[in-house]
Amino acid sequence: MELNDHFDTESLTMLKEVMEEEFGELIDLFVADGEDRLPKMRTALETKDAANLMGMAHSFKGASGNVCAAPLSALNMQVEEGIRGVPETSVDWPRLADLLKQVEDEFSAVKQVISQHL
Amino acid sequence: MAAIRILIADDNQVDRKILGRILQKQGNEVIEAVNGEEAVRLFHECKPEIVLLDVMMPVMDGKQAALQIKQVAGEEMVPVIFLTSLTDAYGLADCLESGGDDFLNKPYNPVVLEAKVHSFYRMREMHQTLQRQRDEIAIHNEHLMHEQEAAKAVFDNVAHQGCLSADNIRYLVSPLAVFNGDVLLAARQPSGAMNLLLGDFTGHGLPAAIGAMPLAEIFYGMTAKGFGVRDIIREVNSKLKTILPVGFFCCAVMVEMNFERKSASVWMGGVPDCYLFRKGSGELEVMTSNHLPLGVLGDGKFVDSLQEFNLEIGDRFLLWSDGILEARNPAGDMFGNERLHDVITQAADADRIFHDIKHAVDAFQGRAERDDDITLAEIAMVEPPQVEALARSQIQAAKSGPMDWSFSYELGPQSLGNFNPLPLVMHLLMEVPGLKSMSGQLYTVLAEMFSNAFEHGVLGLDSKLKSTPDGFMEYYQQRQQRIDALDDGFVRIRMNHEGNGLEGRLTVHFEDSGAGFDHVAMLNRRKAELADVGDQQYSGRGIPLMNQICESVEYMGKGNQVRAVIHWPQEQE
Amino acid sequence: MSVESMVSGDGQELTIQVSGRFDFSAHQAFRDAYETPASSGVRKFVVDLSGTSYLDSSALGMLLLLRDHAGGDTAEVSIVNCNQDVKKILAISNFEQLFAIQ
Repeated sequence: MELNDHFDTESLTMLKEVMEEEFGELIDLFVADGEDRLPKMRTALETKDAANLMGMAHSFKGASGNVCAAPLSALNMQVEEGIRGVPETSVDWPRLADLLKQVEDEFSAVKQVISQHL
Repeated sequence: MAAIRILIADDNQVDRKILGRILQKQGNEVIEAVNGEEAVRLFHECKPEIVLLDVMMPVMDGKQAALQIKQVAGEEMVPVIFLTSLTDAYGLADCLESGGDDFLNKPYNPVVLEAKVHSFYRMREMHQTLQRQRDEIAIHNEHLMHEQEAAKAVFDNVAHQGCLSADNIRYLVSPLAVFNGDVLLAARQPSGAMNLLLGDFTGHGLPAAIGAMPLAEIFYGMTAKGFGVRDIIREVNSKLKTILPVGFFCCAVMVEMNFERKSASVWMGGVPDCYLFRKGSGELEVMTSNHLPLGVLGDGKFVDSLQEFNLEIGDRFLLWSDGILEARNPAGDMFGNERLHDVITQAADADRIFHDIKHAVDAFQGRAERDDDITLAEIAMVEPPQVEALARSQIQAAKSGPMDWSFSYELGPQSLGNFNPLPLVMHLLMEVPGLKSMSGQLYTVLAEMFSNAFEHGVLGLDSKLKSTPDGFMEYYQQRQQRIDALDDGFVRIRMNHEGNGLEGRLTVHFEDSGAGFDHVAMLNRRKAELADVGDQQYSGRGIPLMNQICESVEYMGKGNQVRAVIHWPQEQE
Repeated sequence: MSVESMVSGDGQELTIQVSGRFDFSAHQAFRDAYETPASSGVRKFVVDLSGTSYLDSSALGMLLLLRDHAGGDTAEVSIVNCNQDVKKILAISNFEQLFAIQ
C-alpha cells in the first residue's frame, strides 16, 4: 500500500515539521478518534439519526483533512453533504450506508498505511 | 512581536492540537476550549486578544459563542475568526452576522494563519489607539465644557442683576449651557432712565465670556451712578480694547431711554440693522450701525456719536444680533432681513411684534439643529416710573453724614463738551443720609438744571425746536455742531446744605455764561395761567417734576441763573 | 476654503486670495499667508475676496490681525473684489473706517 494513495504527502511533510516530536502523538490521537467515532457513526446510520451522523462526519472531515488524509476527508464530506440541506424524509439512506462503508474501508487503509510508513 | 494571547475552540482534539501547535510555534500564547461554552468562560477568565472558533461544536456552537464574546468585549475590539473549510460555504453569512471578523480554512496553512493573526492583531492595536485618543478627546472636551459652563455661570451672576424683567422690555436669549457670546443687559439710572445693551462677542465660550464680564460690570456700575450711553459705551470700548486680543471684538447696540423727556439715545457698532417701530403711525425706521464694533479702536479714535430719537408712548426699539438673521431652516436657508421685515410690518399691532418675530423664527427653524445665538430684545417707551416714595426709616442718626457744607464747581468749555459732572455731584449728595432715598428725584432735578444751563444757556439752543420730530433731529445736530465749535463759556454749580439728622435743606444754584431769558415776563405769564401747571413752553418736560420735588425754583439775574431748594424729608405720597 | 498669497515683482505688495468660506478654518492659513518670510519687505497688503462666498466674525477678526501686523493705524490694507454679501458684512461692521474697500 502506498502512502500517497491515502495522504497528501507534501502537506504531510509540512505537518511533520510543524508538530515535530508531537507528530506521533497527533497521529495516535487521530487513529483513536476515528476508532471511537466510526462505531458511533454506524449506530447513527442504523437509527437514522441524521443530525448526529452529519455532525460526526463534519468533524471527521476536518480532522482527516488536517492530518492530510485527503480521500478520507472527501468521503466524510460526501456523507455530510448527503444530509445537510436535505429534508429528513428525502435522505437517501442506502447511499449514506454505502458511503459510510467506504469511509470505514478508507479509515482501515489509512491505519494500515500509518502503521507501515509513519 | 510580543506573544499574542489566542483562544481557540474546537471540539475535535486533532484539529485543536494542530492549530494550537502551529500558533505556539509562531510565538503565541494559546488557550484551548473544547466547545463554545468553555470558550466564553475562558474568554472572561483569560482576556485573550484574538479568538479562533470552530463553527459546529456541541453544547454551544461557534456562532453563539461569538455573539456572547462580542457582547462581553463591548467596545474593545476582539477579532473573532471562524475555523471552517472552503466547502462550508453554507452559513458564512450567519457567521459574519454573529460577529465573526474572518474565516480560516481547514486544513490549516501555517503561513496564512500567521498572516491573519498578525494583521488582526495590528488592527486591534490600531483600534485601541483610536479609542484611547477618542477617550482623551472626550475627557478633554468634558473639561472644556465644564469650564465653559463655569464661565457661563459666573457671567450669569454678573449679568442677571439688571432690570430685564421691567414691564417695557421683552427679550429672548438662547438657553445654551455654554456662553454663546451674546450679552443682554438692562438697568435703570438713578433718574429712572433706562440703559439697555445688546452685545455679540466674537467667538463662543471662554474667550467671549472673558470680555463679557468687565462689560457687564462697567455697564451696571456706571448706570447705577447715573451715566448714560455715551460715557458707558466709551468706557466699555476702552476696557475691551485693553483686555481683548487683536481680532476679538464685540458688536453692540446700546439704548438709553429717557422716560421724562420721551427720548432715546442709541449707539450702534457692528450689529445688523435694527428697527424703531412708531406705534402711532405704524412706521418702521431703520437704524444702521455707524460705528466699528467695541474693542477695535483705541480711546483716542473711538467715536461716541449717538443717534437721537424723539418718542411717543408705545414706540419701541427692536434689537438683535446677527443670530436671528442667520437662523436656518432644515433646508439650510437663512431667516434673513426680508422675512424679519415682513413679520414686523405684518404684525396686527405693536404689542404683537415681539411675539410674532419669536414665533416666526421658531416656525422657520422647525426641527433644524439650533446652534444659532438668537438674541432679541424690545424696549418700549412708557410713562416715567413712579417717583420712589421716601422711606423715612432710611434716615439715619444725626452725626452719620455731612450736614453743613457747600461747594462750587465750574466747568469750562473743554469740559462741557465731553464730561458729565452729574455722577460726581450725585456722589457727594449721596453722602447725606437724608438725601439717599431721594437719589432718583435729585438726579432728575440736577439733570434738568444742567442741561438747561448747558444746552439753552451756554450753547444757546432753542428748546422749542424739540417739539417736532424734524426739529428734534435738528436740535441734536446743532447741539453737536456747537459743542465742536465751543471755545468759550461756563456752567457754575454751587451747592449748599444745612440741617440736622432729622431734616435738612439743599440749595442748588446753577449759573451759565449764556444770554439768559426774560424770566420776569415768563413768570407773570405763568401766574396768569396758573391753572396750567404743566405749561410746555415755559418749562420743558422736566419742570413739573421739579416743582413737585423742590420747595422752590427761582430764576435770577438776567435769566442765566436758577436756584432750587430741596427740603428733606419729603412728605410721603 | 483655500488661501493663496503672492508677492508683487518689486516685493512691495502682498496679495492674499481667500476662496470659499472665509471663517475660522482659514485662521492658520491666512496667518501663514502674511507671516511668510517673503513678505518681510511688503508695505501694502491687498486682500482679494473675489472667490469668497461668505465671511464670519472670526474672518473680520483675522482682517484686524492683518491690519495690526501691517502696522495698525499706519497700515495700508485694502480689501478688493467683494461680492454683495461680503460687502454687506463689511459695511455692517463699518470696516471701511479701517480698510480701503474696493
